[in-house]
Amino acid sequence: MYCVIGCLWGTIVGVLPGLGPLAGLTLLLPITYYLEPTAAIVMLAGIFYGAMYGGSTTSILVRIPGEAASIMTAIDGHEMARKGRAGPALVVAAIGSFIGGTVSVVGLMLFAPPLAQLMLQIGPAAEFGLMLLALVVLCFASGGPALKTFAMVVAGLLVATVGVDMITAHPRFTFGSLHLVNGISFVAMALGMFGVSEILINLEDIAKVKVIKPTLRSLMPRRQDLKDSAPAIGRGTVIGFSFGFIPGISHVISTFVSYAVERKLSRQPETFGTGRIEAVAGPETANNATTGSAMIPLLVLGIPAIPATAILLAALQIHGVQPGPQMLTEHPQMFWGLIASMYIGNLVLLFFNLPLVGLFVNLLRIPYAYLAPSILLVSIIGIYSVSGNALDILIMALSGVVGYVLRKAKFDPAPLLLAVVLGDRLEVSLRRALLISQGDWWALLQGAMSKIFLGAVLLLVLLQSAAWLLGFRRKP
Amino acid sequence: MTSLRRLEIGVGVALLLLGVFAAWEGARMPQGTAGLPGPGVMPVALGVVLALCSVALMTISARARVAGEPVAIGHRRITAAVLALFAAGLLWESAGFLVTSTLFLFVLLWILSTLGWWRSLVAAMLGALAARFVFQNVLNVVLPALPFAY
Repeated sequence: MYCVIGCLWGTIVGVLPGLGPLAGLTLLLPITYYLEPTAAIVMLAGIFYGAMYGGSTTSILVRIPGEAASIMTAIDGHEMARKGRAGPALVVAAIGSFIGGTVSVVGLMLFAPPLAQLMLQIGPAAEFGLMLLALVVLCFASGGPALKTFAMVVAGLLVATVGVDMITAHPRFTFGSLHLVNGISFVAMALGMFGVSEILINLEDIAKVKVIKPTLRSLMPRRQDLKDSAPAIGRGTVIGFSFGFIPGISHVISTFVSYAVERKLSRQPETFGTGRIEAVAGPETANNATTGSAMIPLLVLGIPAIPATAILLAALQIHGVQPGPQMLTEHPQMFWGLIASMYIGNLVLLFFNLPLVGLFVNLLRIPYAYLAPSILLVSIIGIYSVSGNALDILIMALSGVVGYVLRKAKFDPAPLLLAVVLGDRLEVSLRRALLISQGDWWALLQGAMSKIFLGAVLLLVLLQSAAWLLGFRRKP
Repeated sequence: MTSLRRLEIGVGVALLLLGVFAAWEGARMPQGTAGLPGPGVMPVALGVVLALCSVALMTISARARVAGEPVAIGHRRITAAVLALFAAGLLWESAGFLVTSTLFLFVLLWILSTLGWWRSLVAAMLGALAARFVFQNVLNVVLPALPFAY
């Protein structure tokens, strides 16, 4: 039930122009505070993939990608819509999303338990290596300029130091405020940086959007459409699932890679951009296939691979659940409930959303002048409901302004947020490892897992440095 | 309207100030020993790295041959929304939910929509009442009461 509500609600949020899964999750996260933990997580997961799906509808019908992961779908999807073929584009996107999403849940089910067993055996030294590896991958795999991403990661780690030191209980940057003792509210920050800043950017241009409305009859794809899109869906599934493990913006990269692969394999690559169904099927499948694999680092390691899973991490923490290898043994009902909800969610999205496409399209006609104040008020109520402290409203507003300015200056705030999540664990695991070894730094290299993680960090840094020296640098 | 280069330099200055402040404040915390770092080590290290990083960012932006694309920032509607958010945060507990949310919705609807002031006011009052019903009565969210309601 909560999964169905989450999926439909997520689709509505995803359909609304400018509100992607991230904004949708952050805006609705505080409301789930009053639900039972498993129901809350199931509902949030539903919102996550509902919004991922909803984004494709807006991309195809209005050419407004709800988020970066829908950009590739918008190119050929909207061209198909302009040619009167919005229906097949929507259906193929839905089928691709279903297949990609379902296969990735099977992968999650198969990979997560053995990986969790393995991770249960690691100590603080290996945990430090793992956190460092996640941050290094985040710096290198992020889509933006490397130096800007690095600055955002460091700023995020700095924000994570606010609050009482976990080892010595010494207050840091609390300025005597009891409210900051537990650190800056992650939910308030996430809500501000993604939800509020998104609305502020959309307020720059609140002109009415032009919507192409498909009829129910026009939804049926031709046999040739299905034949053309089937291989693209298969490849998109593999690409999306493989990329979901990489911290950063893997869901976005996977769509770009899928589009590039389809174009490369096509006999008529020059026709891409004019409404090719493979160019809709591949990226849309890849986008949804990352949802399952991105859950593996979150549920097994407690590491959010993509910003949306960082919000899910915050939700789990709000409900007193720390994701990690213990989750499977300590909260099995939540873990398996989440997996079951992902299967149900994918089915719900496939069978409910296509007949309701007309309804969702009508949502696009609500003027943003009415939507924006309502969404902002819901955000204020939501954030206040989590902590019961009005200071969080001010933190949300400030984070909104910071997020807006950062995005205008072409800094991606997502790495900052992911670093805030990982920062605490990075520092605590390092200092715990040193405490256990009585100050011996070489202890960080003891144990096979530590060596693997730190070796991977070294390898990545060397490869990146070599690429930089050879001239493959990106513009800062 | 500003250029991307100027905006990047502005963000760089803000990051530099943040880094310097963190390093300075962190230096006043216990530093521990080389083997067992104290709570001040991480803020100092991160502050220094952030400061260096922001200097590099500013240098690269300042040296860029082109000023970059023009960037529109701080539109009237955005300024109104930001001020309304901060005002809501400040008034939330003292003025109560109904007063704050009515004022918040009224200001934004008046500025963003074409409703006119009295229609905006009526819509804001109705919106606030509806939000109170949904969140307080249906979802059991505890909202701040009116200032005179004890």
